This record gives sequence, C-alpha cells and structure tokens, in this order.
Amino acid sequence: MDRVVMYVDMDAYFASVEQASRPYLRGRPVAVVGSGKRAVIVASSYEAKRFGIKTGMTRGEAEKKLPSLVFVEGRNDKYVDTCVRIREILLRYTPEVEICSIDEFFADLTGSLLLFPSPADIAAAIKREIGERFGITCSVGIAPNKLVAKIAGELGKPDGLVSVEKDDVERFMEGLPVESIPGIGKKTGEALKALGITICRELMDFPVSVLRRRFGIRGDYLSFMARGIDPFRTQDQGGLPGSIGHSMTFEKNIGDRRMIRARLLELSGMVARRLRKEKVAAKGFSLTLRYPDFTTFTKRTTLPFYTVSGRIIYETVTALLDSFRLKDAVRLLGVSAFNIRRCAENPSLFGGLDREERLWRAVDDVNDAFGEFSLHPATALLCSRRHWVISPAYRPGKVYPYRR
Amino acid sequence: MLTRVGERVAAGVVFRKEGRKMELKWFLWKGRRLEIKKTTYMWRERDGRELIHRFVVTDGKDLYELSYRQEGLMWFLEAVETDG
Repeated sequence: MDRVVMYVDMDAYFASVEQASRPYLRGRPVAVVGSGKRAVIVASSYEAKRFGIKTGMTRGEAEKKLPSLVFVEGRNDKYVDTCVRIREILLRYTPEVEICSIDEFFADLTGSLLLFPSPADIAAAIKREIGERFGITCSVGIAPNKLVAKIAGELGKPDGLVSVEKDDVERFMEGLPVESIPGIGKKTGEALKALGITICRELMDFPVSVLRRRFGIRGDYLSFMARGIDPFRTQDQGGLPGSIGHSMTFEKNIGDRRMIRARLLELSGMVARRLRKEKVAAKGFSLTLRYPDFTTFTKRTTLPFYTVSGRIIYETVTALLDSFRLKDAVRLLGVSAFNIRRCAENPSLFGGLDREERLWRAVDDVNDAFGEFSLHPATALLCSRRHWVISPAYRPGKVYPYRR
Repeated sequence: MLTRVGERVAAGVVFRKEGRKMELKWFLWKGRRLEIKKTTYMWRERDGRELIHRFVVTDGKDLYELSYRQEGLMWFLEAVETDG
C-alpha cells in the first residue's frame, strides 16, 4: 500500500484564534504581541499580512506601517489547549499524528484508508470540524511523503486542500521556485540563483556532483528534495530538543550589571526548570545580548559535564557576561541550553550536588502544585513579572514551559 | 477596550451529557443577570495542579471572559471587553 501523509497547518493561528474568540476582530488587521510597548509581533492576521505586517516586527514599526492595526496580547494557554484539541480530532482518523509545532501537524493516513473513503474525504472532514469547533481555518496538503505534503499544504494557504498523487510528484515539483522547499531560505536561494537555479526543475537536472562541491552533503539532499523525495527521517521519534532557551525583551534598556545578573538568574532558572521537566540535562550554554540598535551577540560555552542546575547555568552565563565588554545598555537577554542528552530520574553527576538537587526538586514540587513562580530565588524579586507569548515553534505534548 | 474585573460571580450552567460540555447560560454581575447569547471560545489551562476552564461569552453586545476553577468550584468574571 502506498504511503499517504497529510500535513495540516493552521492559518495565521494565534491571530485566527483571537479573531474567533472576539468576533468584532474578524475581518480586521490583528497582531498578536506580548505585553509592553517593546513587545514584538508573534503572529498577524491575513488582513494585517496584506499590509506588510510581519512576525518579529516591533509594535512601533507595525503601528507606523498600519495605524489601524489592532494589537492583542497573546494567551499561551488558549493556543496550547486548542492545539491539543486539534490533535484529538486528528487522532480520530489515525493514531499516527505528529505535532511539529503549535500550529502544524503531520498525520500518516496509510493505515486509515481501509476505514475511510479517501484522504481528501478525511481532510475535508477535519477542516470542517476545526472550523465548526474553533472558528478557524487550516490548510491541508496530502502527498506520499512529509516533504511534498508540507509543500502542498503551504501552496494551498489559506484554507486550501492540495493533494498530490505519487505519480504526479515530479510534475508537481518541477515548476515550483526552489524557495518552496523547506530549509531553502534566502541565503541558499541566492547561492542556487548564482548557479542559474531558480525552480525545482533546474535543481533536479543540475549535476549532483557540483551541488555537493558547493553545499557539501546538503547538495545531495537538495537534489533529492527537488524531485519530491524526502531524504529525512519519516517520523519524529520523540527526539531530544536541539536546544532549550528563554529570552526577555525589557521595557527599558538595562545597563546596570546587577540588574542584568538578576535577569540572568531568572532566565537560568527558567531554562533549568524546563530541562528538569523534560528529564534532560545539558552541557552547552549560550548567552545572547541585544543592544538598543538591535545588534545582537551570542557567546557559547561547553562545560565538561551535564547539568540541570539553575545555579550552574547562572554561573556559566554570568562568566560569559563578564567576558563581554558592554558597549551600551541591553534591550534583550537570552539564555539557551544545547548539547542535550536524556538524564536518569536521579542525575547524580557528582556528589556535591545532591543537596542542591533535592532543593530544586522541592522547589519544582511546590511550583507544580501552586503554579510557576510560587517559589523562586529572592533575587528574582528585582525583576518585575511580565506577560510573554509562547514561541510558535513550541510543541504541545512536550512539557509545557511557563505561564504567568 | 478590555477591563480587568477579577470578581467572583454566580453563574447558571448546563452540563451537557453529550461531548462532556459545559454551557454557560447566564451570570450575575453588579446586581444584573446577564443572559449569554453565545460562547465564542473556550479553553483549559492549569495553575499549578488546579484546572481552570475559561470561556469568552457575549450577551450580544459586549464580550465577557469567565473562568471556572475546578478545585474550588468557583466562577469568576475575569474581564469585560467592549469594542472601541
């Protein structure tokens, strides 16, 4: 039996959810932001996108571009819960559902075709139910693999349904611009253009040996993908996260190192808590600083051991901070953990940490019972609590990070 | 315009047997009984171990966000939103 994969992508997800819950916003340009004047846009409605409002724009930039834009504070729990419920709908059609981000799903329909008339019927039923229950739309792509299903889904946006049969894959791909292939961004697109390649037909006909010389092993992948062959693993096996990080944009730039350290303590604690919740440990840590002129620096370091300790993360990133010669106050700070591995339930890496581990476990238990930040280091009192919006890349099903 | 309220209120709810659904019918606020015309959105969230059900409802004029805290069996009017 030929494999059939369905890709479901919610259209302008956060903004659509807000428009659904507030009917007076329907048809109006809406941008979802965090709180505060400096919050950046995390999602915008199609009405706003038409006027060039993009994710990552500051509130001020967007306001200047479109004065009638309506800003709505994001509600993380609303988006996560809706995502979980959408997954429940998909699970009624196949047990093989993969959440790839908060608004994107893959569902393998191969085994379900004995029970339902056709993949298109399943897709139509899912689209209808999502529309009726949540008042939002989604785009669906159906194809023999995840790569083509995703490309088809993106092509049908918004509210589309694009199906590609196995025998039509090459024909479907050949006319598409190379940037339609996931992973080919502006930089790779320009590099391919320099080789005279702008559409997939040209990429599939191009000698692989030349692509390999120019892009390394990725050159082979590019050639495969242009033909609609998915060279990557077929299903997420609950793999380890590549990194776990948090960042904060401040209401006012911070120049005082004591305050920067207080923020780093808070960020380190948040990263450590997520490491512990995901039952992983990390030994690579990075510190990101952004100045008011938006120049951004990241420094990384790798420890000789894995850790889940907020204190060690804090000490590591403050050492990175000390190696910076701050030329200005900072508007954003970020702490990330990378080089991650699964850790045992009781990761006693060296004896001296047992007491601290017990302490953090107790802190985690209190916060699990009474909510995040019920118990936290006193230094964090220097930092005012803010509202933040979840990253669209967050995958429900993983441990839910934070709410405030 | 969004106005935060955060007041405990009395609410009339039908617990449907189909689909395990809660359907808000009315709530009492400032001595008035507000009849709910439509629930525009609902979701669940957790505050520690407590499960909170949130509803955005309309009386046909304004939007109201209500929450039901499962542990304490309490209803709250969280916010009122008027367009403009």
